[in-house]
Amino acid sequence: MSHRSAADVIEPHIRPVEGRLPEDPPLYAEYQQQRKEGAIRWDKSRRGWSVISFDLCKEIEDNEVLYAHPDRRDLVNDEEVYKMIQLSHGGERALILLQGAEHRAMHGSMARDISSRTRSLRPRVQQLADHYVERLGERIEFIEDLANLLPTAVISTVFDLPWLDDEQQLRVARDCTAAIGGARETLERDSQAWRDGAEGARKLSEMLMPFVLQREAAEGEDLISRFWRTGREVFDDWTADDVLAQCRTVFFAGSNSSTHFLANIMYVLATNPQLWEPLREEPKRIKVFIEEVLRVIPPVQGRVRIATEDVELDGQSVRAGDVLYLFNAAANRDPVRFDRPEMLDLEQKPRLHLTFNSGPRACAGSSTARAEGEEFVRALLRWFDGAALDPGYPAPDFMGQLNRGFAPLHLIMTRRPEHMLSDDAKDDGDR
Amino acid sequence: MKYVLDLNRCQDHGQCVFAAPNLFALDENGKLSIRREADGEYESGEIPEGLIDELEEAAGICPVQAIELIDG
Repeated sequence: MSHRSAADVIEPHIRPVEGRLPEDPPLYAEYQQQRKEGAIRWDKSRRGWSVISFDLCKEIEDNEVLYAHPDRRDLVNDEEVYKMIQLSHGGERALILLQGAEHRAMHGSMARDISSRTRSLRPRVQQLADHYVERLGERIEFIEDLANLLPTAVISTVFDLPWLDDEQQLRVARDCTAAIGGARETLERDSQAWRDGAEGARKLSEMLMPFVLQREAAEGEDLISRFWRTGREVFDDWTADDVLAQCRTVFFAGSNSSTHFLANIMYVLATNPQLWEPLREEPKRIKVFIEEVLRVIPPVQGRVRIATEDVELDGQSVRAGDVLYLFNAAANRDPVRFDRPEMLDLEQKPRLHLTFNSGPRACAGSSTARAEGEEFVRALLRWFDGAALDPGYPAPDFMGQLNRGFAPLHLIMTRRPEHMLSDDAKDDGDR
Repeated sequence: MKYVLDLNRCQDHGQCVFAAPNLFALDENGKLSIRREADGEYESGEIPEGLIDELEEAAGICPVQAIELIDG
């Protein structure tokens, strides 16, 4: 009589669909270190409070009265710095700079405008993702070849701007990044970044203003026409400069951060080959995957707030005027809230995260970012069987400051065999 | 079509109210008014054809993706 070994009789094990980063960027070690010291601590190098717990980040983001956006006019003492902030964001009535009831009304309406426009243009977003993915070669640098191009192309589409070629798209992306850099440099006043920021902001405004003026009749469904209508519902004296400011805000918020978002999605897929097949077979998982990438490796690591009163936070005495750095990326992995927080778990409902911020200043364009991410993954699965980091290059850095993504991202791509392509088009009806 | 609203996930951002004013409302405290009649998960009745567009809008815009659509 022969005995079967235990290994022979074990049922085939279906592995859970999950992934993780091969190695966390060094920033995450800092977050881990701080967890031992508490949810909030004074950070000497940043000259502010570093906040890392989910509950505390959320509590602060939800309360704009006690914890104000740092660009609030009365909190910026230096007039020249405030002018730079206005220039970077697009104008004095840019959504980011509005406060209180005006901000609430504009924020809700603009989020509705952006979401509704993105929804009706979803097929176009899919086409754009397909366009940029299909033409990727076998060895690519992902940021230059796709991640810098798709976000500005999507924004141009929701604004109904003329088609820009690659070189023009890249110029726009560069100007956006410079303008964002300029806004950040108001903390440090680095003169070169300051000058580049002003120049980038000026070029973007020059490009956009003719379209703003052309659409003053506000009859179209494009975002520029909608911003004309929405602003007039809130303000009696709404001008072309104000519409331009909202357009610039969309470029400001939706270009550089989306580039990082796409890079982080791609990095996760290139380092977790086991995820490709489950995503292809069950397209419903794409939504969960996108949310988990946003949670585990967010393109915007955090937000900054200023305390407006003396307040006690988790045993620490925060004084009025103190700067608070809210590391949502750390909060998204808070072990108090999440089981195995570092894992991308595609088996359950998406886990709640703070990547799009919480409260009155939650990202007004999150629906566009999500659509872009989902359509990018769908296109990738349609045209490619896999991707891997190119061993001919050093591993990518997690570049940036508050906005961060893996770059440069050199990859080797494996294209789907020709005969598989049409099958996928049939399978991809689950949207 | 119906929807399931996860009230544990919902953070009362109120963007659904902008997108679908015929389906969602905030109360005087700025909380979603459905909270008065439900907690945990709220499942709606069948949504009339004419409101499906705004329901889909609300599901898409929700920053925390708390609204799940169910094909009926």
